[in-house]
Amino acid sequence: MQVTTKVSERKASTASGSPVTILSFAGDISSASKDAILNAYHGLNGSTSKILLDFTGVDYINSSGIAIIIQMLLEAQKTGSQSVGIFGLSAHFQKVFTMVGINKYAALHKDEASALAA
Amino acid sequence: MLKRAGLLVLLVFAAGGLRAQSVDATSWHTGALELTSDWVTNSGDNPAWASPTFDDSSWHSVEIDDIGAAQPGYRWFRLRVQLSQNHPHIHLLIVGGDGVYELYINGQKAEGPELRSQFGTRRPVEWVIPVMTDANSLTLALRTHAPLSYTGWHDPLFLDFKLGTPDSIETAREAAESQRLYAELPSLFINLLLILAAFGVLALFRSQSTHREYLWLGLYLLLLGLSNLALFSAAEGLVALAANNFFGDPLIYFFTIMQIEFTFSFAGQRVGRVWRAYEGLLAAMLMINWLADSGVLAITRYVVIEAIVILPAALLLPILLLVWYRRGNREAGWLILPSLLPAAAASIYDIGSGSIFADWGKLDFLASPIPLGPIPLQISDLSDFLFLLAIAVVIFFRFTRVSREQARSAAELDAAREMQRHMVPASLPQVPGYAIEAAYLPAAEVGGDFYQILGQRDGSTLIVVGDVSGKGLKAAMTGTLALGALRTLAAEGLAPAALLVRLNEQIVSAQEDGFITCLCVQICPDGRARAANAGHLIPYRNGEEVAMDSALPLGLADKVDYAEASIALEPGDILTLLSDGVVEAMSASGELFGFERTRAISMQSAAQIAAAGQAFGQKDDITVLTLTLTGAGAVHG
Repeated sequence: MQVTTKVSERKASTASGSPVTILSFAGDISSASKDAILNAYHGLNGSTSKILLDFTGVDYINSSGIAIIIQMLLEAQKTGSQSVGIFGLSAHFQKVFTMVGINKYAALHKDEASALAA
Repeated sequence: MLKRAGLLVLLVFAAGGLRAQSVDATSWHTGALELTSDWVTNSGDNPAWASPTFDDSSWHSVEIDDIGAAQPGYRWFRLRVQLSQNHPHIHLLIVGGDGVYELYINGQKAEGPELRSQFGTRRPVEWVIPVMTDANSLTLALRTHAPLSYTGWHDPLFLDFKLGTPDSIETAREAAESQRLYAELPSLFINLLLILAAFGVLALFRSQSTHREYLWLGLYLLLLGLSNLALFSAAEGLVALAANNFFGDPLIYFFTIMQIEFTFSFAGQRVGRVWRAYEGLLAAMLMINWLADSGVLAITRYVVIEAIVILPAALLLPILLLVWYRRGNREAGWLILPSLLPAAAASIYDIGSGSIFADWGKLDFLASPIPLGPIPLQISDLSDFLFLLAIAVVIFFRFTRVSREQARSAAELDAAREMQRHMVPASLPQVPGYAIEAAYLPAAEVGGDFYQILGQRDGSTLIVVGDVSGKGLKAAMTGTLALGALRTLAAEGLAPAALLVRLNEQIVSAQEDGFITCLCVQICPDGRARAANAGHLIPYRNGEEVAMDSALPLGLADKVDYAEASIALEPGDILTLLSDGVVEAMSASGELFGFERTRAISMQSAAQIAAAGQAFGQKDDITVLTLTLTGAGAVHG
């Protein structure tokens, strides 16, 4: 049974002290997650320049879910000022994200520490 | 209460020291004679009290059909009847509880009525007992003992006691029995109708098995009908009282749970935690029911608790439906009226019963039947009948709508399958220098996998494997659109990367929802190959992933550059192209087949690879192509 996507937002700092907004996802990511994910992204303060997407709590992402992530990354790219990083993916989805070219729009990190250090 | 106790003391004192009076029936010779007055009674149990010579003058007088609710413990009743010398043959008619008394006539136990446990106790039941004596004096002694299930519901022991000729007693028995069974007829009819309707709705569930509302409604109607039948059959003496206590009454909680599930399911809503907890409370009421049946909890308190526990369903479900209706759920509005009826009727009946037990008086009528001409119609029967009518209308409209949707979906599915058949070649073409195998296993829902093998003018072959996101007709239409564009572009002799760039532009401009992952490989007979990838699974060469770059799937962004990788195949080399149906195959426990297992079997035949994915747990279309360079014309050195 598909689990609803939950998105929570928190603040952190990079190793160099720059502010970072972390959007943490939990549950499954599918077409039903569109509003939850994009509303969370659109709700971010416009001045947020570094965003990390935390997939630690995500169990499954289907192709529609991947399309939503890509749509969000394309929007971030269009702003010209936002950089996006991703961490917490399982090895399987790290490979899937690379396969669909997401790594060209967001750096993929193993965990939060390495994402903040980058 | 004090006033009653005082009256009782006065009666006892008045009777003290006097021998109880006899009923003078010496002038009786025909017909039936009421013997409900002039009985004397005493609590306790002593076999000697059956004897005609026992002095019962200290016992107090009662009218046997007006002694109120049966009390726990043993109690005896005695009556002397004086008859004429030549009285006709006598039969007795006793109307009351069966299993709660035995009769002694002149000290001899009469055949027929016996004391029984609560599982054998019924009421009201008419007993006809022949009196096998010509004596002109009868001493009738009734030894009574009512089980807890009987006293708890405040039922009286006796309703009537007659003496008469066999014919007149038989007539009186038939009259009493007819009246009793007649009162049961409306209930019997309506509840059998409910049970019949339940099977009808369950049959609907068989034909629309994804619509669980039919399952819940069918179970609800079934349990409601059975519960009511048990209640009214017990009330009219057709079955043991225990049938209601241990079966009919507990079913109330289960049919209320079914009603909740049906309401949420019908409105397409999820049952939240609070309602789940409430369902748990309803199920836990079985324990309270058991406490009442075992005497730990007074029945009077139990019926009040039962009413309180059921009330939230009676009140909140219609309110919830109203809220959903106001939020735009039109069908939820249809259920508001039907949902009000059954539980509200049960609560009304309980309040009436509570009023009778508690001597409130004013609300007794709530538990009384409505006199509808000669038919005594119970409030619950009326509400059940109206509910059934209303729900039949609602279900008719729902079923018709769903049937129309299913017919449309089936037509869409047929159309999608037809399109899907054209998304893969009907037969594999000969490819110079290569042995090609293909396996294509469509998923139950029509998916969007496709592959094409297109010969080029320069002697090379373009092999394209893709997967349209989504399922059904829409995915098939997007796939068809992409294939049309692909064939046109392939005719231009474009290289894989350029072809993907152009294909992406065309799909983006078509503004279709969704996207397409696509791998494009151009192979030459001499083993040279080049490939470009738009988000698709990377191919395997001799069991290892080909080193190549990937970019976005087609249709997501208007300007995407696709890199091209060159591959030099040696004779015997196997290039394996797949869709994600193998990698994303999922076991029953939720485990993915994954990349590593896929890589490990990528040297097997296309059919074997596809079968492995299918056996693991196919969730999507599975497409596998294997290209083996046979050696003819291969690149050497």
